[in-house]
Parts: sequence; structure tokens; C-alpha cells
Amino acid sequence: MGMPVGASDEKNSLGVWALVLGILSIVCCGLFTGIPAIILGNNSKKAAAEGRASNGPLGNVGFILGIIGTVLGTLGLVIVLANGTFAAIAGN
Amino acid sequence: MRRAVGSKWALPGAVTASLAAVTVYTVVRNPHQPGAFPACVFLAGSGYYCPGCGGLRAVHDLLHGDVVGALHMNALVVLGIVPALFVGWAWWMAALANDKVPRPRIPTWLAVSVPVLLGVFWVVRNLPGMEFLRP
Repeated sequence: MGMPVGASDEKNSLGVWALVLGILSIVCCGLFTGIPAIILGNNSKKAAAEGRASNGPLGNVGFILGIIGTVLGTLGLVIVLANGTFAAIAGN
Repeated sequence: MRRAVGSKWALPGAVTASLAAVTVYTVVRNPHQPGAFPACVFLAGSGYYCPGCGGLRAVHDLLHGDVVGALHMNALVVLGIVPALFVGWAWWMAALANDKVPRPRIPTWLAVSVPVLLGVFWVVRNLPGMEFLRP
């Protein structure tokens, strides 16, 4: 995996938050948590490569989920708006 | 020393307050009635249930003592997500309050299996015969 031996866990919060926000972006929040997930996930991977985090895979998962969530969320919103069901969201 | 304590509680405090506020709102303002909460974009766009559908209603029912009703709304939220979030939050708070408590660690296998489980639930709950998994 290329992780330096004895990596510190100083920046491990990046990976954790990237994962949580990535999952949320698929389940509900689309790009609103997806884009932060992508950014944090990327930072987590960089930190892991520099030996400042020990949970690079978490950041990677969050990064990927963030991309999926942003794409799906945006697609879904476009479809729903195009179908004119925006009123359904607001009223339901 | 006071400033150091204040800054380490800033983010956890904000997260806790937000979670508490959303939870109280969900308990007080009934998601079973339309209008209080935004609807699911996936459901509105495709007619199928996303893994979170029924989650807010499940939390509402759970906190009103109706465990069976909550399970019917979203079993995954009741059995998996709520306990996991609670344990994670409590562990985080304990580690902040007491240096002897190690910080929460999410192993890679867990980080991968949770999204996979959500994906499986997403598909399975929409299959014919699986009405008990749908709100």
C-alpha cells in the first residue's frame, strides 16, 4: 500500500471524517457532504503518504464514496427537477 | 490550560449539539406527517427506496418507545446505524475526557463493509417479497 512504517495517527481524523461524509453523501446529502468528502479523502491520502496518518484506506474509501455520492446526488436532483417533482419534495 | 480544553471541545461540542438538535426535532416534529422534513430525492426520482428511507420515522418511533414500529420503518437504521453512531459518539467523548481512553479507531474492514452493507440493503429492500424492509 506504500504506507511508511510507523506512520503517526496525527491526521487520522481526516480519514474518519472523509468516510462519514462519503457515506452521508450517498445516503442523503449528495454533493453537500460529497465534495467535502472528496477533499478530506484526498488530504487523508496525502497525509498517509507523508506518514502523518495511519488510516489512508479510510480516506480513500471516503474519497470514492464522495465521488459516487456527488454524481448520484446531482443526477438525482436533475432528474427530479426535470420531472417537475420539486413541489413533491417541498410539500412532502 | 483553559484555552487548550476549550479548543479541543469546539468541534465535538458543535457536532454533539447538532446531533442533539436534529434528534429533538425528529422526536417532537413527527416525520410520519408530511411537511416537516425534506423528502427523499431517490424515492421521488425513481420510486425505489434508498437505504435511509424511513430512517427519521424509525428514530422518531424508537424515541417514543415503539421499537417494533421503528424496525418496520428501517431495520438497518435501528439495528445498525443508530447503535454504531451512539457507540462512536460515546467513545469519542470518553477519549476526549479521559487520556487513558484510546481514541476511536475505524479499521479498514469496517470502513469498507459499512458502505457495502448499505448498498446491499439498498437493493434488497426494493426486491419483491421484502416489504418488511420498506416503510
